[in-house]
Amino acid sequence: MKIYQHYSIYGFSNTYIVGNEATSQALIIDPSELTISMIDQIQHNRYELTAILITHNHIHHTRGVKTLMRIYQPQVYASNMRIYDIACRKVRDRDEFQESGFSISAIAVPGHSQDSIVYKIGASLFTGDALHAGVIGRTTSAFNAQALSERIGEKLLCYPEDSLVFPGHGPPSTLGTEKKFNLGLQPGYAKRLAKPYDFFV
Amino acid sequence: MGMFMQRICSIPGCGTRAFADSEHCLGHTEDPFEATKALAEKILARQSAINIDFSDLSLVAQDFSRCKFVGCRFGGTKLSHVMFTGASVRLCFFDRAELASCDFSGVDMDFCSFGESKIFDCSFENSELIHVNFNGATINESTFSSSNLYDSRFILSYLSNSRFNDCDFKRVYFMPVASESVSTHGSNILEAVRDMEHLYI
Repeated sequence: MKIYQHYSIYGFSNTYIVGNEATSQALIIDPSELTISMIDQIQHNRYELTAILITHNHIHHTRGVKTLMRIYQPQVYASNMRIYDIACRKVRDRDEFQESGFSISAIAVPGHSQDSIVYKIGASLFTGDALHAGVIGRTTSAFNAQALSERIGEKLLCYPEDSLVFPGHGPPSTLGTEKKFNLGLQPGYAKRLAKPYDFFV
Repeated sequence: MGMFMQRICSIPGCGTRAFADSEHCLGHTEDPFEATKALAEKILARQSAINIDFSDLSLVAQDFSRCKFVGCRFGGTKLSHVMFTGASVRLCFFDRAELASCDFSGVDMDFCSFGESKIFDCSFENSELIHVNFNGATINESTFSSSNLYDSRFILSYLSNSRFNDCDFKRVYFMPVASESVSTHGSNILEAVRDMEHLYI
């Protein structure tokens, strides 16, 4: 398995190309855009691009899908039925599927958005905006922050500590580091976010 | 852009990551000391290390200046007096590593992680440290002066007697849990994210 990371100025997001040397196939995760260097990467390695995995339907993670579909014929996986006008193969929590010769597990971790999916390929977790290095994804309420924090604890932190975390934004990490030093996973995190409500103001 | 490849020890039932570019893990290597020495010589001869697993090794007084490191793992590695001066480092993981008196000055580093590492008496001066994760790291007696820290993170890290003078703090998450005798003279520290309210994501 080879993982290539691309940084997009558009939304400051990360796109990953995951290549399989054995099958000469590749998939792309969260294409925020499609750049010449990404095409070069695919062509240079003689990869057949078979799939696009979307962690959640926010524009900084999907903007490149339409361009990709004009050049290649990949299957789009997302927890949505459609992204733009493109029909997706809908993935649900705990779905397991094969693509590009990889066994992929889908783990639903809603909170940042209701459609957030984490993809696990081997010992690598592509966490989108659910989990970043040191912080969890931004939520619209303290309730969602609490839910996201709990779901990460239940569904992701059960994996080995040396699992690699490849987030949708920012630098990479390992699960062991996140367990100990992620601000969003510290006790009382959501409580600190909640603004006290004063009935008399 | 980076690359990361994972290989498992070929001994049936082992499951441990393979050591360096060999077929076996360090535990199944006949002479680990000789294997480590041979590995260092090979890197120096090639001037590059691609997809090599250095986890839990001890490297002392090696000079990897101007070498290229891509997709390498240094998890739990003990590095003492190792020179990475002017090296190019992409998608490498130094989580839990112990670095003493190492020189990373002039390094071109992108998308790497030093989570939970212990960094003592190291120099990262005049470097490009882009998308680098220093979360939970303990950094003592070290210097990052005149470096570009774009999009790097220092969340819940312990900083003491260290210098960050004339650094670029754009999009840097600078939230150490403790910082003692840390200087940031001439740096745009006001551009750094210092609290949870100003997160970008």
